[in-house]
Amino acid sequence: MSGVLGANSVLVQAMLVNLLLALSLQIPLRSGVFSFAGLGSYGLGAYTAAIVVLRFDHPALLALAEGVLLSGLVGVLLARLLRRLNGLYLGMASIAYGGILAVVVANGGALTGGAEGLYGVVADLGLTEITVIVLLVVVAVALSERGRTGRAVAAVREDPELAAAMGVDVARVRFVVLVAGCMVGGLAGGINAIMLTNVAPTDFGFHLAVLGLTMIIVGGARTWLGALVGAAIFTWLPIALQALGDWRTVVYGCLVAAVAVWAPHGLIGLAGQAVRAVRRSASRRKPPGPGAGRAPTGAAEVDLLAGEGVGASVGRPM
Amino acid sequence: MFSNVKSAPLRAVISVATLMLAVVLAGCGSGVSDSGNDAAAGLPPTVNLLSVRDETGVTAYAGLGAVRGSEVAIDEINSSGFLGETKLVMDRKDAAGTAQTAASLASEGIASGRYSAILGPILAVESRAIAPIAEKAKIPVVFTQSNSEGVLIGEFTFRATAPFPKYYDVMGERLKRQGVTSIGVLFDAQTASYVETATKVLPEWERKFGIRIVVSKEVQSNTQDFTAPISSLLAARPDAVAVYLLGAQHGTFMKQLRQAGFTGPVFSANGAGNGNLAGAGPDGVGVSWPTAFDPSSDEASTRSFVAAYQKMFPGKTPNIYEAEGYDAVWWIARALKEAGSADPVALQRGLVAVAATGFEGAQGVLRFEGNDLRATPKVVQWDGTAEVPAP
Amino acid sequence: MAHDLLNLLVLWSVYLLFALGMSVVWGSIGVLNFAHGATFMFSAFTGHLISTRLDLGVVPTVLLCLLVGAGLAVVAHFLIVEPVLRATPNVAAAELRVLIASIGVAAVLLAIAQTATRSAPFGFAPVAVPLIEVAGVRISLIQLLIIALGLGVSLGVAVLMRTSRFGIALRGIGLDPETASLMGVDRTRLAAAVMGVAGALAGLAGALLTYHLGSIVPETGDLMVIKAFAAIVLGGLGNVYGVILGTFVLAVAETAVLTYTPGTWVDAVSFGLILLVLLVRPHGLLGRAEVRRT
Repeated sequence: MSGVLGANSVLVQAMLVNLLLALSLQIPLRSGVFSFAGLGSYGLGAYTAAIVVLRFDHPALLALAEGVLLSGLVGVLLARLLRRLNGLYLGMASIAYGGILAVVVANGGALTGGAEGLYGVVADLGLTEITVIVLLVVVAVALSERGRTGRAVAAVREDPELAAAMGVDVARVRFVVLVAGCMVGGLAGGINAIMLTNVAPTDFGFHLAVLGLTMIIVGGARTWLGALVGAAIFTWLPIALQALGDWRTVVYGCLVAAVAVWAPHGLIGLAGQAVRAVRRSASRRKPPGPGAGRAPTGAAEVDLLAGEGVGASVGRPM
Repeated sequence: MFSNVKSAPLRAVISVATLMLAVVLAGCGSGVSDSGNDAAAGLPPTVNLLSVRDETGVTAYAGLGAVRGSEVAIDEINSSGFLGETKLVMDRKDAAGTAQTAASLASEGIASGRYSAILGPILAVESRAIAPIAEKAKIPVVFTQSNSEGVLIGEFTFRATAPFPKYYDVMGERLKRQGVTSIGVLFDAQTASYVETATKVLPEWERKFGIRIVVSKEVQSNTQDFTAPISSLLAARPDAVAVYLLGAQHGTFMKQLRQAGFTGPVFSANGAGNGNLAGAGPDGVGVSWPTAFDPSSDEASTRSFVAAYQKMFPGKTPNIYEAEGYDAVWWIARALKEAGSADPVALQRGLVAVAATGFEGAQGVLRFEGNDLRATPKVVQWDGTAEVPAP
Repeated sequence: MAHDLLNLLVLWSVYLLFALGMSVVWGSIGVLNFAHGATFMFSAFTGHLISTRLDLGVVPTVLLCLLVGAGLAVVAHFLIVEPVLRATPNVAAAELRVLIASIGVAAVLLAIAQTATRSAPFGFAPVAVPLIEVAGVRISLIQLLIIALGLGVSLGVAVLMRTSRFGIALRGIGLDPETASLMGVDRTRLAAAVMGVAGALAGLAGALLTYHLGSIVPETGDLMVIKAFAAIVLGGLGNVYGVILGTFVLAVAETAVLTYTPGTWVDAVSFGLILLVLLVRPHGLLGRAEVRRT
């Protein structure tokens, strides 16, 4: 059995890292904060972990913690600097963070290994430890999707003014999700660096942004489950599609475009729609009870990307 | 599949279960080890080699080249009975240009227990990811290209490529004979072997050959617009220009260089070969570089490789990647014979023994320094359609 | 020195032609089309396929690329932009959806070109380019053509936006879509038209750059989008003069970095500009002071 696990452990570990990457983008996105700072943090976390292991021989968990901490600190700085930006502008500014970091490490001389990066990063980090860490993060995220926190987060996304009027500290929510996204991104990068025993500036370029976005768009941007589905699909799909060779990327591109246009809430969203459709037809057979009009699931029943929710029921023009 | 499932927790369970099932199935599919501790019995009927190289992606031209060279060698070895009744079998896996895929393919292969050795990737980042895995599992891996630090990290890592910075001085001698005293250098700063050449090897030429670097410009692997650095190069008025780039960037560069008015000699490295200058048309003619493999050489072992290659792939001339893939397999075959066993640990000892004496391969007379190849360089030049020995 | 200036002007013109299209589309229908870069590249790629097979000259090749660019953009519009804009009342969400879908389209075009060319550079059928020498400076006719087109087209667009019905209508839907539609502006037709024009500009830029450098690679397109974004944001959205200024600053900064430093910091220029402008003056140098989106 250990042979089996050994054979696929690299892929399972890759899937866990991809899951964290997806979450690093999704956590801010769920609050309507278009921050891709998780990608730059991935690079920062990876390089930090690599450097402390190579130079100071720190054990794996400590190296990861340092990466997460540094990513978080930079995240705080970014959150402060970018607090007045929104939407696309915030998105591009946060991508610029990753872009600049990539150039800096590529020119970082002996410290960062320059364009070739750092190698020989050997620290003990087993599949069990990684799984436990990721599980903890997922549980934290799942908890934040329920109850008051969940509703506050959704409210900030849907209608910040209304949320503020209801007593939610909008600025604080946006700050927290941005920093949280950075920290999770830093964790993903650190784990990956130790797993692969090397890190290079090309590890966190534009293709990482596409991968991350693809995972949450196809899986579903609303919940952690979407991130999991997306991560699972895009870790194992390359293997499954090996026969297609170079045409794999064409398939990915078509998938992303198709999902963004026709199924903007991803697979989880589609499943959710199916569930609602079934329940609606089931409830038509019963007389309407007092709670029939309310949303059946715990998280706010609002559509992240289509911007429906309150607006849809009012039927705004255009 | 998911749209049929109703509740969220159930969906979560199903995703996890599916993953675990996939893992189990993948694991159970692997075969039984052929290369166990049967040292007493000698070589088994088949010896399995795992090839992890880029068969798709940007570097596929090099990866596929190495695979083809390996196939020629395997065919030769099997049909000539070099290993007696034993046949070599190569399983091809595509690393697709990413370190992660390469690492996972190697891990998978090692865990299956089928393989005596791994034929490693071309790209340094992939090789660096595989090296510790192979070293830990005590399975020998023979890389080609992978010109950088962090690849040969232990006893089980080997390289069948002669790193060109080590033999590059032959170019300096030649330029000195031509009366060159100053050079301008333009190089891709993201490739380790180029950085080593530009910053360590070339500066020594002032002392050795009286050739001084008057200007040095760095570019990136994705640069297409060389007009600004070329401007700087020409402003310094060098006698000759050195250029180190990737793939067909060489062609683009030469067009722009000649258009800017530089008429002097241009020299480069292996990367300019493989037809990468063809895109420059007449502007690419005359670029020269030292290489470990010249298909037109009359060394017997090279000629026999070219003949065998052309029998398998009629109408094509082999390049250095193919020569290296060929030599890598022959190294392993000789080591197998020497060790008398397909056990990876015994094979490692065999590889070291063969390296100690050297042998003759596609790249001519091969000598080794540790686990690393050293070849005898020849200078070739591009004549517009092919590489020919430089006069 | 004169050579450097010439290269600078050419670089600026190419960036300008490319960024103009992106800026006009973004400023009017509010769509940031990431596939603009892929359009640029794929038009040149199509030009490569056809011009090398039929041995076409400069003018037919450039026209071909222009048409292909326009065609790609219009198809993308009806396949992606229209469905999303119709289904999404919330403008900010629509922005994100179109951006992501356009990333998908860009990925498809990139993959096709990469597979067909194995990521090797591709160019057009070789043409004998006449060189003229002015005061010791060698100028090729292609370079002159690029500079002339860059200046001419951008000034033309500026005039168009200010004075023509098309331009006024475009600026109308940019500022206030509901009022514009009440006043009889057919948003769909206008949007398709502006996407087509932008695509044509991208195709033109692609053809010209390929002639200038001799060849480009499939990855060149995506890089251009980041640079164009930096230039547009710097100059200020919704303003043609802003794009002219922004691309000029970008070209100067990049050329300076390439000439006076080892050259590996070039990418940081665009990213740095983006960050700097967004932090200090988000509406850019010449942009409207009012914040476009909340």
